[in-house]
Amino acid sequence: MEALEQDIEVKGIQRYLQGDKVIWAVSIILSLISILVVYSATGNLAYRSAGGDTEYFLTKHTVLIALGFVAMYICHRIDYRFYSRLSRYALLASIPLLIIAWQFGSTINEASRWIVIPFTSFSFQPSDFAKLALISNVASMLSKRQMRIQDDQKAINPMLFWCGIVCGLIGLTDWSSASLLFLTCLLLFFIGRVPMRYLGMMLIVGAMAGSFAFTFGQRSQTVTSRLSSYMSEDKISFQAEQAYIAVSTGGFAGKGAGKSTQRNFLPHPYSDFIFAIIVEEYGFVGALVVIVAFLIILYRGMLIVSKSNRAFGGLLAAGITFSLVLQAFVHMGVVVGILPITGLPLPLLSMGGTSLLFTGMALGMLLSVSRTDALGMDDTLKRNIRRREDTKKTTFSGV
Amino acid sequence: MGVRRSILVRVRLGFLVIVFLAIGIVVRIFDLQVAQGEKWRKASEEYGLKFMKVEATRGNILSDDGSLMAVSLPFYQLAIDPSIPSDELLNETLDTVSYLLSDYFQDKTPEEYAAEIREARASGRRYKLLSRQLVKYHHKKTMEDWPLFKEGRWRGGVLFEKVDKRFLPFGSLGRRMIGFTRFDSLNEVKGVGLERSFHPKLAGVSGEALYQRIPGGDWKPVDNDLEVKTESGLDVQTTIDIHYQEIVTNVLNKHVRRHRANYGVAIVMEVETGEIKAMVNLSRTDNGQYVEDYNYAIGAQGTTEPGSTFKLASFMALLEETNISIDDTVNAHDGKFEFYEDCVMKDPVYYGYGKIPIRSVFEKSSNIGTSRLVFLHFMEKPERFLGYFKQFGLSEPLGFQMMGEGKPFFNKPGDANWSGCSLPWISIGYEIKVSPLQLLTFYNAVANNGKLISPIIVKQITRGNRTIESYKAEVLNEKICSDRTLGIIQDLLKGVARRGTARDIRTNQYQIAGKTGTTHKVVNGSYVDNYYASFAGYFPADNPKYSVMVAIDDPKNGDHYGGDVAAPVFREIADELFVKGVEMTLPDTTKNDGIFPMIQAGYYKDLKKLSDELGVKNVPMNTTEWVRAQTTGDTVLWTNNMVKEDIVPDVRGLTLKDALYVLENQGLKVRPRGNGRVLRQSLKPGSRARKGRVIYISLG
Repeated sequence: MEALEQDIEVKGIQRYLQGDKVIWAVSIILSLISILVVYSATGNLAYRSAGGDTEYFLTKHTVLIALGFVAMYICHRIDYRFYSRLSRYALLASIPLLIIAWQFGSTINEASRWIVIPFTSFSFQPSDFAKLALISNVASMLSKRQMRIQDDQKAINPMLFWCGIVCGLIGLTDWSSASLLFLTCLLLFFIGRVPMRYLGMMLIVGAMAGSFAFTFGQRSQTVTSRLSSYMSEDKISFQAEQAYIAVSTGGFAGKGAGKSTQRNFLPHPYSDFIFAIIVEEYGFVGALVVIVAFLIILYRGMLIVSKSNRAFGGLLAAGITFSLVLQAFVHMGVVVGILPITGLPLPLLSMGGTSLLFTGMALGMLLSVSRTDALGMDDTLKRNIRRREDTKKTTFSGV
Repeated sequence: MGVRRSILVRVRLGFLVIVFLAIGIVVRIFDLQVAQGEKWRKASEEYGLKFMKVEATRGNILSDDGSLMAVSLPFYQLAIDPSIPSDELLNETLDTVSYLLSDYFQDKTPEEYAAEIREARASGRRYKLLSRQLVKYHHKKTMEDWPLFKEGRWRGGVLFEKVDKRFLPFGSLGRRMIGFTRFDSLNEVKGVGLERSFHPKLAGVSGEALYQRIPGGDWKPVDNDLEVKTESGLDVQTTIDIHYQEIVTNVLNKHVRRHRANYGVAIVMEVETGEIKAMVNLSRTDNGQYVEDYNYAIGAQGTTEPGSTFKLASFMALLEETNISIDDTVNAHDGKFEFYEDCVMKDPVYYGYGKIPIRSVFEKSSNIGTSRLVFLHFMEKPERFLGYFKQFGLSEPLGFQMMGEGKPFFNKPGDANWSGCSLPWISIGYEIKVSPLQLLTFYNAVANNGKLISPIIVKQITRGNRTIESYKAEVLNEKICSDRTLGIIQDLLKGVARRGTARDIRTNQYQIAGKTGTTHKVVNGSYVDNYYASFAGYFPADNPKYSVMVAIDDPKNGDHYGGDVAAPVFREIADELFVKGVEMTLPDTTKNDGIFPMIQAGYYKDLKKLSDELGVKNVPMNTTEWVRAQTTGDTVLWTNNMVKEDIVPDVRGLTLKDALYVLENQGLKVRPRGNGRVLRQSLKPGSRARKGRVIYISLG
């Protein structure tokens, strides 16, 4: 009896959480790790800004993770083809939002990347929104133009235009995110069979967007100093030094949960440097777990791409997967010092509402592709099958 | 190659790129942990960790009614780590901050501040003290909203280092009695007064916390959890009545100034309980001011030859030893009596008292009469005479609750300095030394029907409202003498204040009992023009409430007799205390003189009832429960006194009880001071009452 009930239970969950099960599992595991590490890393923040109430950030973070899962669930229930049309509107909406954030946004960490939602105390980062919108829309445009992409300049122009605009606007307040988004788009162009000469044009557009952001943005000083300190051999920045100490003293198995000392020195240990805290507290082993987890997501994403039977599905899945995983590895690369200092959070692990919410949405969209295209059949057929199954069930219960 | 296949190949290429990046990261972690491991571990040690002591909050010293006499308040030392703020941030804010700093501390110009911070930043310093002046807690709150400072420790570089400072709400009142502590180079606690004596109780138990070094020699706590929790110090509740302390200080101050004395001491002790109600020491500074500087009341420097006040002990010994009657006469000769050659006793009146009754010997304080009687009866057995002083509690230290008690000294037969002169001279209070407190304890025993009890100055040790330890006066001798002796001696003490050396201070209101003393100081074997005037006694003589000791050292304005210099101080203190303390505890027999009590504000129902009861015309014009009084002619009008939620109410004019009720209902923490009705309040009426805020109210 009991076994039967459990069986039904599992089937119940499967009915609700559709799509790639492995991605669901990895997301949940990473979120649990995130709660642990963020709790430890915010000790110092709690000491300073919540009057020592360490549970404040724990509760807040847990709630935001839960919201991320809600977003993930909702997005994965929606047919992904809907995103093709939606992405264009989202992209149009993101332009004014980015400008508002740049000019009137609330300043956190020296850059005005935030818009306070009127009448609430919540603020959100339009760049995360714009990022998802651009990637979806680029995937949409690429898929529509697959047949003429090899030699039609007109097919390429709108994509170059949107990439330049969005990356340039994000770059005004957040150089690292803009660069990463640009790289992701470039990779997506490559995957979407854009010929090399157009990729060269894309680089020129990137340089233009970059110089625009550098000239009018708020981050030129930071960018210069970070790049120069990355380039110079003998002078290691304070942040990098503290991150190295965290990684180094973590050793093989780490210092243990909650025992990080470097969290007191690293700026934003709960977001920009969370990987350092993971290595410090959970050691080489912990680092491997996180790296493998993201490689699994990448691998499963690739499977979704290969199984998808529509170009848009494949390109959307590829765009989302690479955007997520690339950001994760860039974050890790920054922490261990093979990339210059950036302020990128580690998706799924860092504290930060907007990041968690849009990561959840992105994963939901990925799962939507996997769910819809998993059987390689079109919807009409699938609907017929489902109807037939229902009839069977009824018949069965009738007996 | 089909579209689909081409896309898949490209995705795999991207996958490979990222796998390479991942491998790069793993290799780099390995590199940092193993190849460069030593280097970074060393670097981590430079940012060392250390367990450091966290001082516990020191307990308070309270008066007998719980008023704060000494309290630890948090102050902050303001410093900055000039390397932390970014160029942008510093450029934007430095001018404003420098201006605000200059305006607050008033010690440097804004330009100087800006220059110093820039210089410290340029030279790579990570710690710069902005001012030696300490910042008050509520100023710190304001400063934290200043530009740059609001960015906090890690972005703005601002450092507020907490320093607990001892604050005496009553200023110099009883300052020496309260005392202080400090730590010497060996970290041994030093200091004086109650602070030192009760240091083990007040100090609490310090805790330990993990600290991490940050460049610039500064340490910051690693966790907000202490590894070893601190335990706050206990509160020490004294027996001191702060109001009496103030009265006695004022009276004594007036007299030491008048006499340009070297120092003055006054102690008030409650007869029945042994509680010290006031202890005042005033010594003259170089510029002629008087300050609480040394505790002459108990200390070695105040332990001197008492002079004639000691005759009480001699007479008690005589009465116990013999059956002489105070109506017997003794020949006090013509003002001079030679016991031996170079051993000439003199009386204060040059013509001499002649043949006088023993009663007058005491009342007029005849040295010759006293010493001749003692000589006559104890010449053969001086040890026996000295033995009585042990019985009277004069020859051994009291074991008082405060440290630094002066040790009593008595010249004894067999000592190098013992001579034929010794016995007669001891009988009039020379060649011996006792502290004012010790002498007072002896007089208190006489007032207390012969029961000798130790004085106490601390009645309990508390934590919050909980009593941890309480102290009662110890009975040192249930009966120091026979009832006959006691009766005679009490009568003699009354006589001194009625017709003897202290007759000038007699009053019809109550009866005083006491004895004057005038010590003529001997320097290098000869008398010099330097006196020690004292008066010890108690009042009201028939039902003693307080015993008081007054001593004034080296009065320089002509008068030097105890009766002229010290006794008036006693009288003034007694007058005030009689009104404040004694009279209030006596049944009120005086008829109601019809003066309407001063009502300023209070609870409407109570005030109405009170007024109705007393037949005072009163007219309600209020709509609120709490009212203020307005008088027009013989009528009281009650007007509204707003008590609204979250608003600081106006408690001026309320009694302490009412004020506490109203304020604590608003969630405020009340720190009252003084007694009477509320005169002033530290938070403005009508301002917002945040829960847990402290409001100081002074009553008077």
